Amino acid sequence: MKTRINPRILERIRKETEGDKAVGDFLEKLIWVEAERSGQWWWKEPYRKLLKDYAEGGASGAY
Amino acid sequence: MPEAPDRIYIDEDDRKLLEKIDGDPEQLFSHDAGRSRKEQFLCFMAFGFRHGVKRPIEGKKDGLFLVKDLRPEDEALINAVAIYDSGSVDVLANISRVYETAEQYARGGMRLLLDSIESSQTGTFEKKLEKELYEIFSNIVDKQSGGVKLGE
Amino acid sequence: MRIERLILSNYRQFRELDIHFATKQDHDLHLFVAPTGTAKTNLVNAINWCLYYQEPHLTADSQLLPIINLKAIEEACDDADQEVKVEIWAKAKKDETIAFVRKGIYRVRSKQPVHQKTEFEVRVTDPKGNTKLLIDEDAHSYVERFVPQRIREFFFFDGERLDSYFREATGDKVRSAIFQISQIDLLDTVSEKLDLVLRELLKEAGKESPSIDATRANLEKAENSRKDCLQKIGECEKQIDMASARIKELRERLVGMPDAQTLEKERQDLGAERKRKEEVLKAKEAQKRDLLFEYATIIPLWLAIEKSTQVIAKKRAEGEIPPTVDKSLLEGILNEKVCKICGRSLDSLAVRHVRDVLEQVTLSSEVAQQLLRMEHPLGMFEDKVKDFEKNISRISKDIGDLKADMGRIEESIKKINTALSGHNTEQIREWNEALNQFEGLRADNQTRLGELKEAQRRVDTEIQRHKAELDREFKKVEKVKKLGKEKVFCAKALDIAQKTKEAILQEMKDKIEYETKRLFLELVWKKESFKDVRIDQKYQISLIHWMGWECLGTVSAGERELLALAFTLALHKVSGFDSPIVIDTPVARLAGESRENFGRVLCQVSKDKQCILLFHDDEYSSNIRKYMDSKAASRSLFRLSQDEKEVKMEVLSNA
Repeated sequence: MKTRINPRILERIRKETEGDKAVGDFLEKLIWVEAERSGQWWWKEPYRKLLKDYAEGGASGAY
Repeated sequence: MPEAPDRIYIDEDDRKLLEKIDGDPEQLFSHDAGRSRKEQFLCFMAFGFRHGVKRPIEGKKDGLFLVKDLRPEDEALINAVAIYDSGSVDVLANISRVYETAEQYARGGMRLLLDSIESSQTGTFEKKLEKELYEIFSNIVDKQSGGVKLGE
Repeated sequence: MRIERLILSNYRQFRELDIHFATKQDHDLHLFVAPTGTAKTNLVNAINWCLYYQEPHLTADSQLLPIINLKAIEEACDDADQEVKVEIWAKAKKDETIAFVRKGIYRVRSKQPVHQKTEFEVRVTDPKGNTKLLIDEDAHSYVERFVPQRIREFFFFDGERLDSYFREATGDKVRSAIFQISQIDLLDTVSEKLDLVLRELLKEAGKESPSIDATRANLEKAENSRKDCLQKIGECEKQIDMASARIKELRERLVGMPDAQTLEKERQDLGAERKRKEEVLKAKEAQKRDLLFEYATIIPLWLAIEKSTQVIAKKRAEGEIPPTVDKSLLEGILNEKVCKICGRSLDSLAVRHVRDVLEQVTLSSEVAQQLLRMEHPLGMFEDKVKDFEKNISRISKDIGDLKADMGRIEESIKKINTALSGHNTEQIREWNEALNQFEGLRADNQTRLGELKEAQRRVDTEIQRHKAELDREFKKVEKVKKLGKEKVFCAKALDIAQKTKEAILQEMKDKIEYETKRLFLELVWKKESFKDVRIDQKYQISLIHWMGWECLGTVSAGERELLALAFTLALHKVSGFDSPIVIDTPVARLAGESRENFGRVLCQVSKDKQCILLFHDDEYSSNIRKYMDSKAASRSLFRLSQDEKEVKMEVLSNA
C-alpha cells in the first residue's frame, strides 16, 4: 500500500542530487521502502541489493 | 595618750541609711557594687567635710571596719580633715580625736549623700555628682594663682 | 483525513451519541455549544480514549466516576456485561474509509463495574468496498499515521490548557513535533541504516586488506568518539538551557526583592559589633563610675589636703620635719631627771638646758612622723586632682564615641529591617542560593561545552584524515574495487540524506516561524505591540515586543493562548497533515476583538481543514457567532437529561 511521504523530502533530495540522478533515485527508493514498512523488519539485504544495483548504475530500482 | 581605737564607728541607727545607700540603683556607692565599707566611709567623710556637716554619734556605736585596713593614703586624708578641723597639727597626737572627727563628718556626709541620691531621678545622680565635682574643681583652679597650678 | 462520524456508546455522560460531520461547500467547521455540567470536554477525552487509550482532560469529578455511563450501570443486571464503545469514522483523501473502534467490556457486580477487557481495531475500507481489519501493532501504526500520539496535543486540545502546554513545551518538544510532522524520522531511519551498511562494507574490505582494516578501525574509533562527544555536548547544552531558564525565572522572581542574604549577613555582623561595643561601653561606664567615686573622695577634701600640704611644707622649711629632736625623749628625761642616753642624773643646769631645748621643739616626733607619712600621699592626691578634667573628659569622650557608634549601628540595623520587612526572607535567601547555584552550573557547563567543542573539532579533523586514508587504501587494493564503488555511493547517499534532513528541518522551522507570526498578528488585537515571533535553533519560541525585547513571559494569558494557537495552526499548515483540529473551550481567555479575530481565522482555516470547536455557552458570544454561525457546517447543543445522568445532543443546524 502506498503511503504518504512529505513531498518536501522528495523535492529536497532531488535538489541535492541534481548532478547525480542515481543517488537521488536510490535515496527516494529507500524512503518509500521505509515509509511502507513499520516496526522491525529485515532491512539489510534489501538495502545491500539496492545499493549494489544503484551503485553499478544499472538498476531500475524495482524491489 | 588614750588607747587608739581599733575600728572606725558609725551610729547604730545609721545602718539603715547605709543599707539604703547600698540599694543605690546607679551603684556608685553601693557596697554590692564593690565599694568597701572603708571606701564608703571616706567618701561620706569627704561629703560631710565639703558641706561642713558634722554629726556626733549619739546612739550606740557600731563598728564599720578595722583601723588596720587603713592605708597610708587613707590615713593622710583622715589626718588632713582633723588638722583642718582643729586648726592645728597637734591633733594628730590624739588619734581618738582624729577618728572621731572623721566619724562625725562621715555621719553628716552619709545623710547628705542619701538625700542627694533619693532626690535625683534615675540616671541623673552620676551627672549631678560629676557637675558638682567640676564646680569644685573650677573653684580650685580659679583660686590657684601661685603655687600648684591645676589643670596644667 | 477528516472525521465523518463519531459514535459514543455508554461513554461517561454520553449514553448514545451519534454525530455526523457533514461538509459545507467552503467550510468544514463544526460547532458544539454546551452549558456547564454537560461535560463537553469528555468529547475530546472520548477521541483520545479511542485512539490512544488515554483520557488526558478528565476533571477531578470525572476521575472519580467510572468510564461507563451511570445509567447503563443502573440498568444492568447483576453479573451482566456492559460495553463502552467509541468509534471514529474518518475519510482519507483517496476515498478510503477508516474506522477506529475501541471497546471496553465491564461486568457489573452490585452496581459496580469491573473491567474485563478492552479491544481496539482499525477497519480500512477501500472505494471498492474491500475491508481490511487491523489489530494490535498494525492498528496502532495506523493511528500514528492519522495523528501521532506524541503530537496529539497539537490536534486535540483544551484551549485553556494550551497556554500551559505551550509554556511547558521546551525546544525539544517543539523540535520533536516538527520532526514527526515533517517525517524527518524517515530520513533519520534511512541515514542510520545507510551508516550501518557503510560500516559493513568497510569491514568486508578490511578482510581483504589489513591496512584498510586498521584504518577502518581507527575511523570507527574516531566516529564513536565523535558520537560520544556530541552526546556530551547535547547534555551540556541541555544543562545550560535548563540553568538559563531557571536563572531567568529566579531573576524575574527576585526583581524588586532586597538582597536578603547579603542584608541578613550585614545585620548579623552589625548585631555582633553592637554587642561588642555594648560590652566595651559597659566597661567604660564602670571605669568612669570608679573614677568619679575616687574623685568624690578627694576633690571635696581639697581644702584639707591643701592646708595639710602647706603645713607640711612650712614645717619642713622650718626644719621641724623631719624631726631632729625626739620631744618625748626630752620630756622623759625631764620627768625622771636622768639622761636616758648616758644614764647620768641631771643637775639643775642640765634640767634648765633640757627645758630650753624642749621649748624650742614645738612638734612631737610622733606628729612629725605622721606629717612625714602624709606628705607623699598628699602629693599624689594633688597630682590626681590636677588630672581630673583630663581623665574625666577622656573617658567621657570614649563613652560618647561608643554611644554614637552604637547609634549608627542601630540606624543601619533599622534600615535593613525596613528593607526586609514584608518579604519572606527565607524564600528570598533560597531563591538567591538557587540563583547562585544555577549561575555556577551554567558557567561550569559553558566552560565544559567549549572544551567539548574543541575536542569535537579535533576528532572531526581526525575523521577526515582517516577517511582520506581509507580512500587512498581502497584505490591501492584491486580486490575491493567494487566494494569501493559501493562505499563511495553509500557515503554520498548518507551525506545527502543528512543534508536533506537539516535543510528540511530548517525550512520547516522557518515556515512555521513565518506562519506563526502571520497567524498571531491576525489573531491578536494589539497588533502594534508586537514586532516579531522567532523560533531559534533550539526551537525555543519567543515573542518580540515592538521595542525589541522578549516579552513572552509578560504578555497576558489570552495573548499566550493566541500565540499557542497560531503556532499549532502553523504546524498544521506546514506539516502537510490534513488531520482535523479539535479545540475544547477555544476562547475562554479571549475577549472583544481577539474573539472576533479568532472566529475569522478559524473560519479561514476551516476552508482547508476540518475544525471541530466545543464552546462553553458563555464563550459562544455574539462576536463568535457573527463570523461562525453562517459558515459552520453544523451547530449542535449539548443538554443534560432531566435525571442528570445523560447528555443528549440537539442539532441546531446542519449543512
